[in-house]
Amino acid sequence: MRNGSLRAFLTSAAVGFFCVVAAPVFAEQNVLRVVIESDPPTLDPTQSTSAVVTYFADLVYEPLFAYDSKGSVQPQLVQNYTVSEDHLKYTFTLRDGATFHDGKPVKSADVIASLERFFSKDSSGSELKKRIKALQASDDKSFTLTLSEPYGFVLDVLAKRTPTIPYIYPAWTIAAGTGVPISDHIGSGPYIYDPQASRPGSVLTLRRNPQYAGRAEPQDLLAGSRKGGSDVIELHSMPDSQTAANALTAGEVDFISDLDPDLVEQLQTTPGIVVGPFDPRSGTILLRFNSLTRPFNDARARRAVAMVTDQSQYFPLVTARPEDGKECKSIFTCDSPYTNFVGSDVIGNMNVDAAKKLVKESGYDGTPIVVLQPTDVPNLKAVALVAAQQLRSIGFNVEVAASDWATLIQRRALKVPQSEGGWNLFVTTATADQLDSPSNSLPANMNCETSWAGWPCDKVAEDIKSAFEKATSVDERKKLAADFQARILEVMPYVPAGQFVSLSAWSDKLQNIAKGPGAPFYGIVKKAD
Amino acid sequence: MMNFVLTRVLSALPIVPIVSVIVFLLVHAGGSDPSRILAGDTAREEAIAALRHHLALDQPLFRQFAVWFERLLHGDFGSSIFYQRPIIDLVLDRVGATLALAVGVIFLAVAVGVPLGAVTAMSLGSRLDKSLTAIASLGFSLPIFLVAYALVYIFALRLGWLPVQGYISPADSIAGFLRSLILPVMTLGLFYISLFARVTRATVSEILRQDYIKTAAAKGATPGRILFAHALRVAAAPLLTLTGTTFAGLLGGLVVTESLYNIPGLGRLVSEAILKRDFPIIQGLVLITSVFYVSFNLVIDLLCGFFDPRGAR
Repeated sequence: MRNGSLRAFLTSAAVGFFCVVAAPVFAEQNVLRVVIESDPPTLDPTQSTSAVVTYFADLVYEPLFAYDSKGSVQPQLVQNYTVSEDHLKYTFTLRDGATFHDGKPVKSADVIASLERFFSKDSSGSELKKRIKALQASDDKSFTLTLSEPYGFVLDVLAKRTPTIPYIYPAWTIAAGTGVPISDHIGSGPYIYDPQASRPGSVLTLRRNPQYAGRAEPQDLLAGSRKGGSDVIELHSMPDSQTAANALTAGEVDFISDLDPDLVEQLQTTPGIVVGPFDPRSGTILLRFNSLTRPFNDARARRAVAMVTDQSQYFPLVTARPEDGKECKSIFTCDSPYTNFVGSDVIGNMNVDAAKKLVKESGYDGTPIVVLQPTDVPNLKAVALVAAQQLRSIGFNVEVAASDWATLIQRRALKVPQSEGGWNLFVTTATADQLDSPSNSLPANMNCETSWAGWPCDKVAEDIKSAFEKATSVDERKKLAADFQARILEVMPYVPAGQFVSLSAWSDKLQNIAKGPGAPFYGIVKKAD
Repeated sequence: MMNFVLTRVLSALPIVPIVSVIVFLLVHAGGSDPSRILAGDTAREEAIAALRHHLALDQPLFRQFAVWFERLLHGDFGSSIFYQRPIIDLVLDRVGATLALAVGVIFLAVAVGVPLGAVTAMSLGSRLDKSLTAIASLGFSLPIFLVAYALVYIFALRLGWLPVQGYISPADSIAGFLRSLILPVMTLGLFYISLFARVTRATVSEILRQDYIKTAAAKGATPGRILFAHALRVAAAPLLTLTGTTFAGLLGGLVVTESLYNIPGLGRLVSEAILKRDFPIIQGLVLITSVFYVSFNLVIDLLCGFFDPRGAR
């Protein structure tokens, strides 16, 4: 062997050795470690409305359509689509090269099975389903949806970003029925779930899908390319928020999705850490009545509570900085397309005498009423106490029922009077995009037994909602949204108690962080040290 | 001695089936419904009912127990409702971290606490005794979270010597494994060192007051011989009992430390299972822990009988 060849051989060997030895180092640099609010209750996104499930699901699955940062619906798994002139027939073609993680192509049959499952799970889905005459595959890559009447929200429902999201699954993974949770988490998304490297309850590991052929357009919130930014994404659940903050400070994790307000000041002053909103619109605090049982089966009693709901006492409980909370007396998230203030002067007008009079007129007899207080959700624990005090100020005899969240959910399902273990009021929060329009507002669903816990019932509101969904012009929709709000604030199934921005914290080594409703983790790029 | 061993083994055997019945009834008696929690905040009643049916939670309680017990006899602890994985896999995934932590804590407690207790017992009333007893009282009284945060602040955040949180399996890195355990072991160790020191001090000082010790001293036995050959030998029985119960207790009860250091151990698994009402995990883990507890107590009883044959007669 000549000297030159020997040198070349040795150089190649050294480079090869270096690559093999250094490979774990490079791999380590590409691991994005995210601390999520809590352990996902399930990995099946059709089985839970928990937002943390969506963090996982957005990495693994794809929907047919997705929202961009301007709030417009864009095709995602669909390559292109057409709508007939009478707005009754939608024809969709699937994206070229879209394959599931098991290597099989995404077919129309998978889409139809997934949508049927979604329709049976989701209230927006079931509204769309009511108007569907036929949902049929034309071939493996295209399918048609035929409506019985025009419905302006077909694409909005297919792009829905609040749980339940209409992701597309391989038909075989959901064949066992709608009540059976998915156990094979196979999607067509940019990351593949690695159960071997995961430890449920502690960390979920997802690896970049090397076969992923996404959209050509650049990422724009949930629309466009979903090509992964890191080789591996780990979703960690840490029970102690101080531990998470310490881990971020020490560089052991890169992102905390929901920052405990108590830790904002500490992390804001830590070099190398950025504190800011992941979703700048965040959410709204809600006081939810049980409209089935006394005394809140009477709208006068509910309106009386609204009158003494001083929002400025609520949002500081869930935020660390004054600028992260604000009053919002619209039933639609403030600064969203349908925000209006028709009838909202009733909220927090602090006319205590008038409120007491309404309570008396409602026939309230002094029977103790039950306010549910979740003790393991620190912010809501305080919100429940403030609500109880405001109820007492107008003559209600209040019992605060403290329990963990799981117990609260179970008690909340009871429709019996409080004397038999039922309840009268609970406090919670809703994300901004859950309160964007009459169609998707969960607490303003007035469809009696099928509406959210509290089960309010009002045909007038439901008729306005129906007209809103059929309306084709923006002006008409805005007018109907105002009518809807006026009616909701008259019957008052819940009281909006202030809007807030949740903060996240992340390492300044992270780039390309999408911000907005339902912002995903797949596009985040981690700079090497 | 044989009778003693047989009696102890036979009396331990019925405990586990009794515990299994009690645990099953307790878990189900609260009227909790995991399907409602799993189905989510806005699930419809039909969806919850379908899920309940799928999980067989709509079956009569007796039938549910019979199915669970029959599976148990075949070594099948069932599967988690939420994680959809066999309980035994979840336990095997997590037992390593808890075991490592428990062994580390016991090792530290015995290695430091027992000599500390013996030294203070030998010098009762002295300045050394008072100082060490005060330190032990402090270690016994400080809340675990306070100790944890202080140690993390000093050794992880300020000095950067150790990780803030997490657990690294020895299969991945021995050095990482040891580094990940130092702070949690120190956190819990402080409490258990104090506990062992106090118990040793009380036991040894009591023994030192016995007539046979005075006789040995009068015969010219050195303090070292009195301590090692007489006092600690007799003190071994209560200390062994303490070690066994502490170890068994640690296996099932490391919830706070595992949470503070984000260690995926059995303590966190059971606390999450309770919050989610994941019945199979609660039932399985309590059963496994009770088997551990009973086994440890049995072994400790037998060892005590060996060290102090008077009790075995």
